[in-house]
Amino acid sequence: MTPRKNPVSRQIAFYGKGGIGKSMVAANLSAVLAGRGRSVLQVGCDPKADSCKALLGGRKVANVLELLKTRSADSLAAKDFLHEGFAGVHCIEAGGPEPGIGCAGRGIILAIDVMTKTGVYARGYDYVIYDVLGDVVCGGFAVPIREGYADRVYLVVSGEFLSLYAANNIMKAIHRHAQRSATRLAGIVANLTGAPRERPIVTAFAAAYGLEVLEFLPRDPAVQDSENHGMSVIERHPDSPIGKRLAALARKIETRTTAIVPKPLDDSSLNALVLRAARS
Amino acid sequence: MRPCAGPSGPEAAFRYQECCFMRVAWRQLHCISGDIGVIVHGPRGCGHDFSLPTTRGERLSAACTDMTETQVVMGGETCLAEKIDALFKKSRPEAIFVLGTCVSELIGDDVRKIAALAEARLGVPVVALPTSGLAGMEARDPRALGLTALAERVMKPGRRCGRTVNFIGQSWPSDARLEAELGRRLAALDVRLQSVLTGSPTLAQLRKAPAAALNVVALSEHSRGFGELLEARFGQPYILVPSDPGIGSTSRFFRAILERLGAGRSRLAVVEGWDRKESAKLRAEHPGLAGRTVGLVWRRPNWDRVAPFAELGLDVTVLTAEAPSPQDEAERRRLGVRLERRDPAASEGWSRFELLYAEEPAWPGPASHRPNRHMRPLSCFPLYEGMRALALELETELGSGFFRSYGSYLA
Repeated sequence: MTPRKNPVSRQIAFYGKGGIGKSMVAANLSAVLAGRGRSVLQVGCDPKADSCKALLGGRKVANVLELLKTRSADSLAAKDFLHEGFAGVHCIEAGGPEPGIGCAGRGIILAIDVMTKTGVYARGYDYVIYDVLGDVVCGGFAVPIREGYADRVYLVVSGEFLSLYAANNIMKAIHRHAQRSATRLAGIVANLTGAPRERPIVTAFAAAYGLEVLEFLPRDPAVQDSENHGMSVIERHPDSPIGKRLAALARKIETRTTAIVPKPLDDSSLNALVLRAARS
Repeated sequence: MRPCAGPSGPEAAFRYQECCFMRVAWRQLHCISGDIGVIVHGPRGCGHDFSLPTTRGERLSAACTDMTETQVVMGGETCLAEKIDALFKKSRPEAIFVLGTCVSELIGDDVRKIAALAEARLGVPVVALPTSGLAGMEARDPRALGLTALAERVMKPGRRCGRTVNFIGQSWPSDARLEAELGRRLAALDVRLQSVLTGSPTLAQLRKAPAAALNVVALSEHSRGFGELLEARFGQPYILVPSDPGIGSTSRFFRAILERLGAGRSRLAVVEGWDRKESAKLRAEHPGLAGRTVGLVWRRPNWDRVAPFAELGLDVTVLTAEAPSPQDEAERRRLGVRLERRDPAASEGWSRFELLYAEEPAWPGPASHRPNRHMRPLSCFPLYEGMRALALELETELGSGFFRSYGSYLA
């Protein structure tokens, strides 16, 4: 990995259990920030390469690893895999292997290396937003944390136990790499599923680490409708309740300065915490 | 004896088992001459020495998929399939073995599936071996893995012929002279040598091996494993025979085969005749060996290896690190040699002997303190041919006077 000297001002990574809504939150955050005149780069770190679809009108675009199948890394330029989306957001998809083969984690390492070498980070974005696949299943998906590409991590959770379990695992990765990396946990975003007592559970979960829940995003048909049209909520339903919540979330993230090295819970403490919050 | 062209064969596999699982399996397959192809599915480093010739000096059809980082990320199955086709087109081997590596295992390439598809496409056995080192050395034996694949995929049951034997050894008789002697002597005993599954067998030899009535296995862990495997798969019985040089050892070798095949007294008399004739011939051809002082250094005495020195009429002293047992004493008396528990380098060892031989590991303690670094390693070849080679080697060494002069210098 080439050492980076990243001139961008804020680098944010969204982590969380698969299907929790990271891409939706990341794309809308990018859209809001770009709408406010910030230069934004969104990097999808997922073999599915669908993080930026909502910013690109639903289009699938050439991703870094796909290009590397036929071309050498030296022959690639940033323009080959960098695509401009809604409100001028720059979008990159790392890509990855077909399901069931290859090594997606190594792919993330390789893709970020290519991005560094092709000068993507030297462009001086105000925000670089990483949308990272599901759990931190291996070292490759921990690269934004481990190598310090992201200085702030936001966890997207719901009130379901497994999503909190995944979040706790991600905290373990942040904690593990805290000594060598400047990456810190900045907050929790609750994308509600409608499960019973979801808010108190997520609130108690955040409080256990000394964090606050930045925003509770309710279930809203506007999200699905926007996705069906290949758009972000900010683009299609900016005045919907969820659109307003997302805009508020973006404001909070922009102004937020607090960030911590979380102390992850052990499994039994996590279980007890969730049970307590669910009963109270 | 002609030295091997490079480290290969089952013996080399033993030495290499500490380093890489895949490499040991590779060495195993490397013994087979000419008509197989081997593909290593991994990065270039895993296949860096695959251009080595086999023990018979032939070049094995081998290739490495040279996986790049992009192939690691995106999966290397396509690359493997292409490599199998290319190897088949180039060399037309009768069977292809595909060896997995840590990298291909880590990324989950389905080597078995690719091999099965290639087999259907090409019409020759394409055998995938799970040889990644990361799966651990403890539970699996890479040598057995290669042999099992051969037994299961290449060797087919055949009609059993009476009074035919296969020979299974470590690396001998890799030399054509030994193989020829083995065939000739067995023929004289009315026994046919079907296949020699050692050194560098050909695929044809492996294929016809199941038709033999008996497997003759030279004593070694590796050979025994193969004998057991063939017994389990083809119902071929096996016997263990000594594989040391010497008149007595060679005699026991042939007697064991004859007894197992139910040969009559007349055949055993032939072997007795050989013993007498070869003993007389050796003493006549090498009269200068009688009475020469030789030290043999072992951690524990290996009496089968001591015997040929005594049979040549040498004045033998066995130097051991451990206290001799009553059995050692009995063997010493039988062979008429001396047995001492002492360090030859710390005593007057150098000047006492005209020649010192040692077997690794000969002496306890750090390598730098081992006396055998100053000594000749003992190389042993079986049968009467091996005995003649040993006598010739001793004559040459004693003629050089190296140890005598070095001993005088130290004294």
